[in-house]
Amino acid sequence: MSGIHTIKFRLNGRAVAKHVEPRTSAADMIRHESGLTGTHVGCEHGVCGACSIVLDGAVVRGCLVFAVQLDGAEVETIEGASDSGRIAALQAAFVDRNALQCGFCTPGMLLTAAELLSREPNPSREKIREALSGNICRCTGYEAIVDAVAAAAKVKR
Amino acid sequence: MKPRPFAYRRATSVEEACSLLAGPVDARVIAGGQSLVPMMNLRLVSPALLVDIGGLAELQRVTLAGDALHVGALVRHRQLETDLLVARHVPLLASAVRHVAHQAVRNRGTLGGSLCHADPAAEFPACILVLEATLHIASSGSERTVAAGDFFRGMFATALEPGEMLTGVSIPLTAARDPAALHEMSRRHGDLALAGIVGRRGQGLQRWAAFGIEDRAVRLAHLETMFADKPQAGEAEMLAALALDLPSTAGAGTAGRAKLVIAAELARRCRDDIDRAGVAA
Repeated sequence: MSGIHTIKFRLNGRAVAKHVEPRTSAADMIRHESGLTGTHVGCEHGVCGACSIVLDGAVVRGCLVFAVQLDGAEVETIEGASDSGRIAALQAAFVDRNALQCGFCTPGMLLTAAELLSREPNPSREKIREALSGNICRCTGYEAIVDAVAAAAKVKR
Repeated sequence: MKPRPFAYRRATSVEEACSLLAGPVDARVIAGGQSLVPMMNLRLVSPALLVDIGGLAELQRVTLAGDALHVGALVRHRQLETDLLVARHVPLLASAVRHVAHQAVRNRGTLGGSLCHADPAAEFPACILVLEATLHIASSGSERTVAAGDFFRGMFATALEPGEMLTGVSIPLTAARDPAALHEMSRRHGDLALAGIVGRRGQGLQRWAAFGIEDRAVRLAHLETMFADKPQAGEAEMLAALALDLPSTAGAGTAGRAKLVIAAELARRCRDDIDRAGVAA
């Protein structure tokens, strides 16, 4: 009943199998077992948004999902989203606008912003702020991040 | 922080989940995990066994059943936000979702999880109080129903007994279609409410509830009576009624008094929204 569980899931398009303890979070497994360190672990209780991953098409907190729950799931990390090119416009806008300093929050910001733009291609600044309100940035003061998301929305249109 | 070690089982049926929950070890249901996992990571709770009900498709549906809308316990907040049946029949739930946490949490959190967690500051318990919903509870080999008004027992405490789990909520359509509104105050969008009010006005009836104020979501009987008599009541009348409905808050000095003033303003906003919706309908 306790002990190690074997899980099979798809990670950035590739089928993988892992042996995990129930208490291991999805974010820790992705970092330590799969070596994908773009998923950052910040607060570990769902507040900061740095550990965001895409689980079955929706952005979730990697620290609030246990790895063992990923059995059978489709998971995308910031590496997968970046390599596929689907967030390229957002990434370019973040660089243009200096929308990051230390970069710790950036993977979560990008995945969250990409989900917003997929659901709402032309969001107001207020909508952008609301969508990013679950992602904490201690460097930028957010203004540049909101600018970058708004600019990326314009490019996409 | 990391949670203490625990055992994990993925249930393949409600019956299996209930029999696991009825076992000798301290077991908890995990659905979306958006309240439970933070508490485990902070080691506020450390169950010995997690029973994952996330794979139970029969609990993920919104269906019309006679004169009620049935919402399965595993319906995620995101689904409440976008579901056509919810939008049409229970717009209050769809609008309440916008106050719940952040998108990434709403993508994963479930209605049943929010109700069973019974956070005093959560929106959904207050919503189902004013909607006079019925909760469906399963245990090994049996089922029972509990009225929303009897479900919340205190801070993080509900009428669920060991070995029981919530399977869904039935919301009477007549209540669901009444003009209703929710307003809350929080420090930051998506944060837990410092105070919140939900109201519904039906044919000759008023149903009001508060959240984020007492140790649980509570019905506001005095406010209901007062609004029935004086639909256009002012702040003083609302404050007087709220002081009777929320006696421990009213007696809690300046901080309590501040909460009542906030609650009265939120009640006014709800009342005005309901007035506008009533005119439109």
